[in-house]
Amino acid sequence: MKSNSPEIDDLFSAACDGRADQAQIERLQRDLAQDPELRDEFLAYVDLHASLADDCIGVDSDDVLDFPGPGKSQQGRQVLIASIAGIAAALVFGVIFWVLTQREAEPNFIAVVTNAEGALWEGDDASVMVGSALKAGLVELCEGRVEIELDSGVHIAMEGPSRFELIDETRGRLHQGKLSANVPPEGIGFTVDTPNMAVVDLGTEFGLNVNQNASEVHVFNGEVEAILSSERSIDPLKELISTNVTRRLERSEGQLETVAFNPDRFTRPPDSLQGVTRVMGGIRVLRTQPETVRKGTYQHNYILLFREQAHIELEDPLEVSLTRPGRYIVGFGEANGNDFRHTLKVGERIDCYFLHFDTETEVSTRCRGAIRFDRQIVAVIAGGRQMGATDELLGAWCTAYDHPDTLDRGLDNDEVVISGDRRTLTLDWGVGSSADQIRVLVAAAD
Amino acid sequence: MSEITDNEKHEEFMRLFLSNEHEVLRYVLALVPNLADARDIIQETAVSLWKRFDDYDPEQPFAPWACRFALNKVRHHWRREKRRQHLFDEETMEFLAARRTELADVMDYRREFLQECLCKMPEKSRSILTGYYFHEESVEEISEKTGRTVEAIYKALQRIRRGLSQCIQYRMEADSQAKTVT
Repeated sequence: MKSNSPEIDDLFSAACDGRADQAQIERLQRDLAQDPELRDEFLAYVDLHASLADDCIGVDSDDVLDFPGPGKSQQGRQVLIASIAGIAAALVFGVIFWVLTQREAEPNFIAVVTNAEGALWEGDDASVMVGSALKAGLVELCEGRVEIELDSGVHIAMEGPSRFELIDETRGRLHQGKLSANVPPEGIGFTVDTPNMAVVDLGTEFGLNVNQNASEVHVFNGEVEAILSSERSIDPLKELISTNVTRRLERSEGQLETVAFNPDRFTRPPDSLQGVTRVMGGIRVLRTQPETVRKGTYQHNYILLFREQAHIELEDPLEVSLTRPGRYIVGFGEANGNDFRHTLKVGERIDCYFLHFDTETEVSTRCRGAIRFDRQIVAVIAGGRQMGATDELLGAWCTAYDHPDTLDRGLDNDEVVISGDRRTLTLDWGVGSSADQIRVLVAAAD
Repeated sequence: MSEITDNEKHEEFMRLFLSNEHEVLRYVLALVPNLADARDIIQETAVSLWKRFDDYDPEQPFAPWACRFALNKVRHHWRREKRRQHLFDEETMEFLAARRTELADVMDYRREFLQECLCKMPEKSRSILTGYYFHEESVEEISEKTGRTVEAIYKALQRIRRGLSQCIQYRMEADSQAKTVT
């Protein structure tokens, strides 16, 4: 969006608040006349202004806007202390190396819901939402679209009505409906069974559509192998299907036929999150902002990552915890926390990402992972007080956070490593009585 | 056929006007983005519409009819105020009005996402929005009430609108991606 430029944003805003001077009005007029895209953005901006002026706020703001009540009593001052170790070692952490570490507890979960749009689950199950983890079993979607990431790194998009059975992290069964999969190299071999064939991925993006009469497979990119299960002989019929080919198998027929690709019959494979190049370990990337990251919401041992506000230009100095490459153990205690108090200057332009780790289990759980960003990490906010103080500026608009006075949101004896090239963040977190949350600020895209 | 009384006529006018007022306000704000001016123009438009209500053809939609009057009022306003205030020139207003009509469906679509984006706005932002837009308080009044500077309130309004724009954009993109297949 062009209106993301602070200069244009100033002009739009000044015009709406009636405080644009002659030079600004002339500048805006010239830009609007020359640039159709900007003109449309201006009209959209003014329409938002108009919406705010009539119905949306006016109806009944208390009903529309739901807020947490006053904070719980502040149980003692929990201030961050640092024990900074091994910084030198981390400074040369230019190239990421990460051995995929098996998570140590709760082997039952094999996937996380990473996106949901208008999703209605079978039985109206409201407990499944973006950020929830799934175990092996049936996933039934009545309508809408959801995306799931399996522990094997495979991303699946499903469109309702669909019935999909998660067998394990490398295999599923589509009983009915539409599904597509995006399979990274480490997920090769991922297999989806349908009533009359099995589709084995060979490193690709593919779509499947299963109805009462037939199974159809379309390869968006790469190659899959289709194994016809109607031939349950010693030598089942196998066939390779390559990019942009759609093949269909009728239930009654014993062979695949080529049909024209009809985009409506397939759901689009999921994309990756903007600004994030790669994610490893127990971190799961949410493609939409979740409804809530309040403590106690999610009961699994993945670290959730999502994007909050983007293109923020700081209008006031911002207090953050970490600004330099290094390995940090961030805990809380009685120290004054000066090691974790740095300031970003006014005018700094940033995008913000949020990481959340919480589990209700009594057993303490560990989670490790690494994130590679496509831009430099400017700062990390890791203290409860700093988290609360930045919800308004950096938080996602529709995500519910714990009350800003909740001080135990930050890290608690957890490790954060900012690589020497400032692009990789490595985490080794354990969760005890409180949720672990941080904000990662990266340089805004131009 | 019974005679329509003035009272009934007035009621019918009020019903039509109130149910279309939003649409007229949106239209006027595209041309005169300043909210206080736009509200004055709406008032004047309402007076004219009532005076000419006998000309209104109930078979036709009300909003376009009302918008034509509003455009006139915008022009009056422009002539009256152009020395005192900084306003778009007539040419800019014409092409904004024309383009806005073309974009009506897109605007309706965008608006669907606003509610979601407003849903969990931080409390401080909410009270500023409510004061400014709903209670029609001036930035100076809000500044006095909240103890923040006038400049800080303007900045807060700007930030809220930018945040909402981004939120709407983000949700629209997610929604349209979900609907299209590459």
